[in-house]
Amino acid sequence: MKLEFPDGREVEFNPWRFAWIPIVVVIGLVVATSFHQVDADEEGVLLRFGKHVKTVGPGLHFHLPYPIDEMVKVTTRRVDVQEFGYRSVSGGRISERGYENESSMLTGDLNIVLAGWDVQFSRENPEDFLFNVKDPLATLRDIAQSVMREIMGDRASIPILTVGRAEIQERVRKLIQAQADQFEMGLRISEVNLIFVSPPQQVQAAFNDLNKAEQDAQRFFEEASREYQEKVPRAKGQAERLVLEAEGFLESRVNRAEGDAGRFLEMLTAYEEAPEVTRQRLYLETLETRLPALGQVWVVDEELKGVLPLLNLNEGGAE
Amino acid sequence: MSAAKGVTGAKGVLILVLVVVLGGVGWTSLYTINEWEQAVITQFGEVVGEPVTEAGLHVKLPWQRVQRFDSRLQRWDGSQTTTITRDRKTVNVDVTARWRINDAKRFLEAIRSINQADTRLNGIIAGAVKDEIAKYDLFEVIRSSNRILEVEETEIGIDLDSEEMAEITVQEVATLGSDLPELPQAPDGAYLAGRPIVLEGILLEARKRLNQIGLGIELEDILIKQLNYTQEIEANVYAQMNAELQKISAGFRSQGKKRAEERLGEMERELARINSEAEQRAQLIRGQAEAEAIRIYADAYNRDPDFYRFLRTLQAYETGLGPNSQILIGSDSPFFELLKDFREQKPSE
Repeated sequence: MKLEFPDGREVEFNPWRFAWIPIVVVIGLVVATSFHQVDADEEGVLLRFGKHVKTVGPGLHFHLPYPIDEMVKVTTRRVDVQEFGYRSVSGGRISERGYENESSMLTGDLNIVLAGWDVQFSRENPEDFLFNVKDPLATLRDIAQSVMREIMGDRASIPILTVGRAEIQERVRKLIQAQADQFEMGLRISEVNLIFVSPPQQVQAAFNDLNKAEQDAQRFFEEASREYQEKVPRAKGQAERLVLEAEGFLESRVNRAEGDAGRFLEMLTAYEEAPEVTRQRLYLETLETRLPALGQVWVVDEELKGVLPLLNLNEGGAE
Repeated sequence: MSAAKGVTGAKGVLILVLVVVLGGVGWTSLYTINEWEQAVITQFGEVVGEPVTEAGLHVKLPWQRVQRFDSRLQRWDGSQTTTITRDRKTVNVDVTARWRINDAKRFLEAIRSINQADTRLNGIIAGAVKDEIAKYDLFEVIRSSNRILEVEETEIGIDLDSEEMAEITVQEVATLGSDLPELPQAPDGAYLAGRPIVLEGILLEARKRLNQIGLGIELEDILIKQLNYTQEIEANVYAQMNAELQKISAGFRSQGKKRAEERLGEMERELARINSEAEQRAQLIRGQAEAEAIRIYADAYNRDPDFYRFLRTLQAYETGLGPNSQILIGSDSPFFELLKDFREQKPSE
């Protein structure tokens, strides 16, 4: 056949010479669609005319070309996270603003708490994940919110805000898993973490005061305890001293008595050797030492009636 | 061009045409169904046979059409609706539902597309939600059980490091929900109200309405995704929460004071005990001392009481006679003799 160009040139053209081009293209396409690389964290679900034939693990897999076979890859060996009531932003921080619809919930005593939590899950069964539920992640989000509200709605607000949350997390995890299993979603829920549970802004102050009140109560008691710790040992010390003093008195009293008694017995022994003389001597010695110190000594004639001074022996001495 | 070449060319063209025709017939007679699909075959607008649910390669007549539908569980997500409970509280409810096409033929005749199905479900489910929630008080929609009424041991309290102080539990200072209304229960313990009951009621009601229209749709479940107070009510709830928290705070403080007072009382008792015991012991010891002394003196003086009296008298003179004393001495007493001697001896000293 001849091709005529606009400028009048004629060129001989044989279309069969170019027949290889579409053939090569087709073969290329066939080859290109006949193998798949399945990554380490993936599984490949092989469909033949749309029907599930087998599921393969990581590696290079050859199969029949499109449109006969088709390979759909699902990331099965990675744990993914869905966040509720908050979103992670860069630098490990979280942002709660704008997610109040997710975080705000009613408690069983008809109060309001805010909760943020995450759900960690993996696509355990790729066939179920692909074939059973149309929008698995959105469905998971629905379930997670419904379950969390059910659990929070069955508890009083104060315990939710204050005590340990491990129990809530585990229950929520179990219930989400049960729902996911019921829908045969092919998901495994590995963890549910309560990231925060807080009172609404409008009661934050009162809630903080609750913590302060607990600390106050503790402080009151501790102050009393401290006083107790100070005073009781001191009193014990004083008591000890009182007893020791008494014991000291006991000792000194006995010693003095024994000393006095000993002296007396010594004197008695000596006295018994010459009683009369000793008596007289002691008597006189005493008077001798005392008389000079006496104010007045009156000698009285006993046969006279009335007291008549005869002689003041110390008159001269006193002057 | 040669004749032979022309023949070959014609043959080539014929083969080409044949391939194209056969390909076209094959293309229009074969169809595939994916694992997540089902199909309804129509012929000039009429449905032929049963829906095809088996995945894989299927054959049809070239002029029949394949209508594919998703066979997976579908998600319906409604918008927030405001409803009123039996106890006249307005709440915003956000509900989602799962559904699937369970009769593709019917579905095709009634709705044709998933989007339209969503629209139809909006009215049905929203209506069921409104009607059902209106039968219950708010707490019956929120709670699932009466567990909240059994205040647990593990509820909040202050854990002090000291073993002497019992924990202040919140039960002492607040009711913690033990005063909340009870969910009604049947004699066998089954709940007659509560969140699961309400959801079940909504589901049954929505299914009933669906069946009346017959859309080829089956509702799998209904979930309450969100349920919040309307803004007007919220203010009251905050006020109530504040009051409750303040009550508990005050309770904690007064309990703390009470514990402190008890501790101080214990202390006073302890101090009194310690003091009185010490006093008692000291007095006993002193008594012992006196008794011991008395015994010692008696033992010694009893050897010669007379001499003791004599000595003691002398001692009394010695201590008892001073510059302010005056003594009268009888002139005929021996003492005077002694004194005279004494006066005479004195100058010679």
